[in-house]
Amino acid sequence: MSLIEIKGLKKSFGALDILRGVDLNLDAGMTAIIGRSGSGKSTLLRCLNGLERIDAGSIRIDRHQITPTQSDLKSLRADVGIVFQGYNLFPHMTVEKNITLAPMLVQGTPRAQAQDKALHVLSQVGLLEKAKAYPGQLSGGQQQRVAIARALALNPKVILFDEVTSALDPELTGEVLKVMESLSSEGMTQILVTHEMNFAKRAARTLVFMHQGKVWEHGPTAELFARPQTKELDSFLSSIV
Amino acid sequence: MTRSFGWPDLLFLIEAARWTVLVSLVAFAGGALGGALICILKLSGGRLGGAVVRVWVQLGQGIPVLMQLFLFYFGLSILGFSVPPLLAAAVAFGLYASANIGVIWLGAVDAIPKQQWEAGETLGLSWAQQMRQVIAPQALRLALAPTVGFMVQIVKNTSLTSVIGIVELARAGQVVNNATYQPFSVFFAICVIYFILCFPLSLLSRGLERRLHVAH
Amino acid sequence: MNYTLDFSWLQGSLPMLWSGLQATVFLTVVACALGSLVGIVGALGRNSPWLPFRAAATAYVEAIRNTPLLAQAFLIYFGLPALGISLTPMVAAGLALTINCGAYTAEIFRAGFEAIQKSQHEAATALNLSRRQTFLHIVLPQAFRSVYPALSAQFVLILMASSITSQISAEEISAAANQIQSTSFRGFEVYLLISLVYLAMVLAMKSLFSLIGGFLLRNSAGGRLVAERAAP
Repeated sequence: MSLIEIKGLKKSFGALDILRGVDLNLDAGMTAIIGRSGSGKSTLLRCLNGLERIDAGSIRIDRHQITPTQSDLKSLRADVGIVFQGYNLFPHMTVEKNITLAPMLVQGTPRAQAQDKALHVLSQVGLLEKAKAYPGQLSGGQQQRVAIARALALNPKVILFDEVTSALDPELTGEVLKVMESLSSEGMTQILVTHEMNFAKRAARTLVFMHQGKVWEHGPTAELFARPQTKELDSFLSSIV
Repeated sequence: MTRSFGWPDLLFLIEAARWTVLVSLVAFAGGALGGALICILKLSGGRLGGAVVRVWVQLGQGIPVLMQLFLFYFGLSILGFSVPPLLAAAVAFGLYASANIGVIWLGAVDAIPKQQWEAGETLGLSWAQQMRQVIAPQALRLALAPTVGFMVQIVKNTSLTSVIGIVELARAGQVVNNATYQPFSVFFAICVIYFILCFPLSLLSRGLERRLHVAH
Repeated sequence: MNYTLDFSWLQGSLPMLWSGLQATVFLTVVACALGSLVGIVGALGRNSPWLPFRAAATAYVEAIRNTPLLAQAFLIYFGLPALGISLTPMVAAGLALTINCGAYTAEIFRAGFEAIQKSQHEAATALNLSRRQTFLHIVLPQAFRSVYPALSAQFVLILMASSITSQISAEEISAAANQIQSTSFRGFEVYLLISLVYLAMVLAMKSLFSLIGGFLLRNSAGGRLVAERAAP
């Protein structure tokens, strides 16, 4: 049984139909979602942790269910973390406090334990020495890695990445992608919306190509890159080379 | 002999409100003149002018209006002037109103990007021409909403001129209260009348702010 | 002009001036502290989805901001006894100033809350913080930092507004001035001195806020800039 099952997912913003019936099964490992602007990739991602309410269909992630009428978002979000394009760190707290806040307030973790965990995830992302720094003192790449650490601290089963390198200067994207690769090798399931095609080719096991609000192609990354089945994917891949 | 608070009293209050309006207009006129003077002094760039403006604004904004009213009232009588109350109020408000209006208008000029000045300059316009053709019209738009907003402050502060003998709305309220001994009704009525005077101005100020896209 | 300045009344009036000064400071501090709390509640009300709360908060803010403090003070000091609530002048003054401060700080905090970007709320939601936790830990601290200059400017205005309470017999420094003036007949000198005292208090207050601001905001982006703007 797949880790994630999406059936007939529909989502509209007012008169605009963004997702027009998405059917998708995803397993553990790294999945990259690609597609043109407006194809619905970010919206799909944000539906997976309830930041967008779905209009029709259903989503199952592990043992969590999301339907238009009913979902336990709190327990879903304990298992599904997210990293945003704009990092969204809390600027008035130290890096360490950013990471320990949710575990302490939401999961009731004692302070010492939360701090240990914070230092552990910070070393996972390579920023142990920045624990007492403030976000404003860090570069974009460092802030994004702290954001990843913050999501890791809640022990999620899945982490969503919403175009996390798009806001970074090119020389800083590498450090973030490196962290994501190492998480992958440690067995973390990651779903990312990305424009970094080289990275997707190298690191993602599965590729999902979205077009006009539907899953247009879906399968092993190497396959899709080498032999696109549809002309839309073909022209998309050639336009970004 | 006390009587009940009734229509004749209400009319008396409304008539007194005319004084509130009149004093407000006079105070605003004085403030606008003074504010313009402040702008000219500051913008002309001289060190003396800048210092004068700084002191002027500190005094006008750092001394409570009530104290300013008393100072001018006693000051004027010392100087031997026997001034009609309306003029006394105008002068007394002059410092307060001009300081605040000056700050608002200078802020509006300040908000105009340097590039506008540079554009005028590189086209060969003199400083005065830049001011008149490029800067002032834009500054006017920016200054409109806050100036109307300050007008609300002026109207409210006219309530203090009761201490220098003007029978405007607040003073009239005290008079009526002494005759009717119904303080709650009387002072509630006062508040309502002030609200009727001020609320439209507040709405206007906010509407102007939205339409002219001024960040407050 | 045959007028010589005469400050002979000053020595004997010092005790009265001193106690008036203390009363002014006390009124200001109490009104600003309590008024801020009222303001936070009012700001929450202005954006509340619950209509009665929202309507009440809006009515409160508009009513106070569109009527003079003097009229509000009269209503509280002279009007409430007619309803059976009798207050001493100082209590009435404190109440009037607090209510007045609350309405203005409500607008200040409202702007502060609204300026917190949606992305901060999203991050908090994604981390499963409750609405209350998000407000206390994420929204309020950041809003406080950004509205600090406006808030400190408002507190200075309250200090100056306290002079108005002399008209309802509150024994603060303006009332002391009135008292001294009526016995010494040296109105100009008395009010000149009191005006200087107010100027000094305003300067002291602005410096204090600038110092505190520099300390509190030292870690925000542009914290120093904010602290500088706190003493315009």
